[in-house]
Amino acid sequence: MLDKNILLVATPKELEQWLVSYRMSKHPNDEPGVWSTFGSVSYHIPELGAVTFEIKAPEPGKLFIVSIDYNKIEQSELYINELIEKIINKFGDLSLPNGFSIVVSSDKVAELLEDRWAESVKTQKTEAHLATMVLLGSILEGMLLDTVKSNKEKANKAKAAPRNKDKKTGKLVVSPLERWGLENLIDVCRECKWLSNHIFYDTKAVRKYRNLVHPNEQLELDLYPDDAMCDIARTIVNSALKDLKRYVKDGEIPRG
Amino acid sequence: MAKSLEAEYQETLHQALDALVADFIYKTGKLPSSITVTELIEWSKEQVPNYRPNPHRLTNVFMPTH
Repeated sequence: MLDKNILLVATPKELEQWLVSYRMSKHPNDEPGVWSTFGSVSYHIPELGAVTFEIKAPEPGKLFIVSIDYNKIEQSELYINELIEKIINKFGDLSLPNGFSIVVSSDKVAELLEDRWAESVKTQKTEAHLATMVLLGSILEGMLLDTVKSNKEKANKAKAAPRNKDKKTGKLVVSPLERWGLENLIDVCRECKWLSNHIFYDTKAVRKYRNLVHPNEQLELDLYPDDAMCDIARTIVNSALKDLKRYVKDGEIPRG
Repeated sequence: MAKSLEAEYQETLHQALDALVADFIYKTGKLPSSITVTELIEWSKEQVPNYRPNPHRLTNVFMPTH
């Protein structure tokens, strides 16, 4: 039994149909060798026997492979890994990256970001590129905001933290977090060394893409998002996630 | 091969819908999957209380000079 948590942008039926066609392409003279029951899809590999994917479909068009059951024989890991790679290539090109739960402070926030990621996959597949950019920008904003929130003391000391004049004292004070924009969050995270320099510059591009939602900005930049731009933004958001994850693991970003 | 006017019109609609959905997500923080088309139209209408359709806005695609 292999415990996994692989999110696929597919229905159980689509996974089943793909497994049938994949198997038939490898063994054209055999039976389809795929069958599904409630909560699982099984796939017969001649070299291995039955491989059963335990699946959960939390909502239409989205499923999790939570575990994979198969006979442990020589080289079985190789077969299984090859199969998982093929499945991820087919349904998981834009699949959920691991680690939201590591970089944010609660499961609730992680779930929210994961939902947004899944939603951005749907919008990109339907070529709603502007909507995809807004969603990817919001995921970046969510990760950085949570990082700043959890480390408020250090973040507030950053030069890049936005400030406004206190009406009573006339002194500059750090603005409340709800007034921080994505740009402030990116700048502060870089200054606090929670984002690497190269990721910092890339995330600025995501912010720019996200801001195409403002018609004036779009006209000024004469930039119209397409699939390639969405891929770039997705890669950058994923890189920022990996970057934050590394800093959390190294203890640079304190957690709990 | 040149696109048919109908295809171009459909693209105009898709682009406008993408912009509407993007604006909706940006301003409400809600996900499109969590609402119905009716709710989206209702929200859109709320943004334009004095809405007056411009007959040429979308049909410009069909104008000879387009």
